[in-house]
Parts: sequence; structure tokens; C-alpha cells
Amino acid sequence: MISINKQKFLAELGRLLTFMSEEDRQEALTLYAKMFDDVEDEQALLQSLLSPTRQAVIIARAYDANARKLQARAKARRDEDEEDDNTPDFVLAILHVYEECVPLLPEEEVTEEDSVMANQFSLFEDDGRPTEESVYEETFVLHETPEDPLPPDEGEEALPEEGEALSPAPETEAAAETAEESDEVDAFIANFSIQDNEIDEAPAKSTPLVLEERRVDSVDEEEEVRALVEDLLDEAEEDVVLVRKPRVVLLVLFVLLALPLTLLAVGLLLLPTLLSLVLAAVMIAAGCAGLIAAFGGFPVLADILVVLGCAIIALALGLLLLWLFIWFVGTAIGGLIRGVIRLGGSWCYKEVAA
Amino acid sequence: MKSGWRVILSIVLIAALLGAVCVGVGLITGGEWARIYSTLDSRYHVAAYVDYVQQVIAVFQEALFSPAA
Repeated sequence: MISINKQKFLAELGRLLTFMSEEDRQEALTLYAKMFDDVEDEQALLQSLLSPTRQAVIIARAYDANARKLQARAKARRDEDEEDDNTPDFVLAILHVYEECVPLLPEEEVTEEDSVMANQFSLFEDDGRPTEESVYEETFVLHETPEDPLPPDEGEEALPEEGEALSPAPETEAAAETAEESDEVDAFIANFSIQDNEIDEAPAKSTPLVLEERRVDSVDEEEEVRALVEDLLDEAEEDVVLVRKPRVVLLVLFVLLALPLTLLAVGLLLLPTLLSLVLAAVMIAAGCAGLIAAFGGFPVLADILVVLGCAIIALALGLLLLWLFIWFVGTAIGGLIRGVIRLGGSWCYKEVAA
Repeated sequence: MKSGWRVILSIVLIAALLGAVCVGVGLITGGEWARIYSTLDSRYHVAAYVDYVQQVIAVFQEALFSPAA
């Protein structure tokens, strides 16, 4: 088994994500690096991620290069102060991987004190549950300050703010209570909201079984992934459209000079070409005549052998001259014309991005 | 084109060698050029063609290189 670590994983992943724009690629790699920072057991995370190739195809499936280009252009046109609320699909895909592989709250930290009664659960319903984007912001964006890295269990402390913002319940139950009691309720709500999140994550805890199945299929998927990534790479290359714009003055001058010179050179080359063709025809005709004569008109075997030998030599020379004619036409004359056209293309045209 | 040259040259060399061997064996075993020429002349009128070519060459030489021209 090939041992792999975080750096190798990220390096391989970075190599596979070259179909993305540089900005998106860096963002994806940053998210994966954060993922590694947020877990204690790096090897367990690597096992959960399976392989860089698999992660590359997950991103590739969620990544639309054209759409991202349009988004980037639109974003560039907007004011810099204006925030972009649209989280890219590939980021959501990475977030989904993050949720599967890095639970927000470790299982051993769930205690009986955090368990919630049914009536308290109804206070928040679905509104208190974090969406994928909010989790993304809390998990990655809040952690991006390098001087204040938050481990996953500390990151959960960010959730009480959400609980505070979404807590109309203390108004009904603790309106008459003191401010301290209200804080206690908020703290409880914060705990509750985390537990709710933990409940959402519960199905993800069963991922080892799913991952086992994925490992079985991983060999087949590797080839699919490679093909998909190669297709995306090809599409990315095709996206760069270059348009050839003529330099008109140079083009006219080139045509005026190159056309007569090329015709003269072609005419000169036609002489040996036609000569080789004529000689080839004569040789082949003489060879065929010699073969016919050798088997038809000579009574002496020695004479037949001599004529046969001469006919074979004539046919061989005829074949050589015929090939020389083909070479003159295909390589010499054709190459001259192609070279002049290529030269004109390089001198008289410039390539600019469309 | 390079492989084409290689194939053609191989065929030509083999055929030329074969032809040379045939000529050599024919001459060794009693072949004579005079007899062959007379046979071909009686069958294909080779002498007439040779005379015709010689006359054409002479006319061209006169037209191209004579002092009057």
C-alpha cells in the first residue's frame, strides 16, 4: 500500500485540479488543507477521503468552468464592497465531503446533559439548523485567520451566536425572568443547536460502511475519474480561443513578393519532376517489353537469362524514378508551398485572444 | 516518407541484384549481346528506333548550337 500524507495528498490533488481556474484551485486546496488542520487523526481523514483522484472527480462533477468564468467576470464588474452571496458548487461539494469526514462535534463529547427534551426541540424546528453555507462560513471562513486557528470543538462555540439570533423562545418563556436567566437559556439553546447539528451528522457517522463499498468500487472509478479529468482538461484548453488577425500591409507585400518567387521555384522543381516521370515511364515500358520478349522470342536459355536480368534492372530503375517523381511532387513542391504559406502566416498574422 | 524511401530502396536493390545475377549467369552460360540484339531488332525494330532518336538529337543540336542560329 502506498503511504500518503497531507502534503502528498494536496500536491496530487493540486495536479489533478488544473482544469480549474487558479483562484478556484487555490480555494479548493485551501479548504482541503483546513480539513486536515481540523482533524486530529490525519490518517483517518486520508482513509475517509480515499484518494486525491476521487476528490478531484467529486470537485470536477460540481465544477462548471464556463459558469465560473461568467461568475468571475460578473464579480469583477461589481463593486468590491459588495459581497458575493453565491457559494460555488464545488465549494459545496467539498463542504459535503468535509461533513462526511470531519464531524463538527466529536461523538465522545456528547453527554447526557446535552440531550434535549421534545418540547425544547419544537422551539427551533428547522430554522435553527445550520445550512450548508452557514456551516461553510463557520468552518472555513471563520478559521481563515491564521493567528486564531480553531479546532473543531472550539468551532462549535460559534454556533451559540446563531442560536441567539434565532431565539424567540426566551421571549415566551423567560420574558419575566432576569437577564441572567435569559443568558442561561441562550446558553442552553446554544447547546441544543449543536446537538441538533450533531443529530444531522448522525448518518455521517455510519460512513465507514459506505466507505468500504466505495473502496471496492474505487479501482473502477479511478479510470472513470482519470477520463473525466482529462476531458475537463481538454475543455479548459479549448476554452482559450485565439483569433488570427491579419497585418494587412505585410500580407499584401508578402503576396506580391512570395507569389512570383514561389511560382518560379515550383517551375524549376517541375523540370526534374517531369523528367523523372518520363524516365520512369520509359524504364517501366522497357522492362515490361524485355519480360515479354524474354519469354517469347529467344531460343537460347542464356539469352533469355540476360534479357530477363536487363528487364528486372529496368523495372527496378523505373520504380525508383517513379518514387522520385512522387517525392518531388509531395515533399519538394508541396513542402515549398506549405513552407511559404506557413511563413506568411507567421509573418503576416498575429494571434490575439477572442 | 522516410519509411517509403527505405522500402523503395530495398526493393530496387534486391531487384537490381537479382537482375545482375541473371545477366551474369546468362553471359557465363553462353549468352551473346549480338544475338540478342539481332533477335530484338527482328522482333521490335530496335535499329529503327535508335536511328530515329539519333536523328532527333542531331536536329536539336543543330537548332540550338549552330552559328547561324
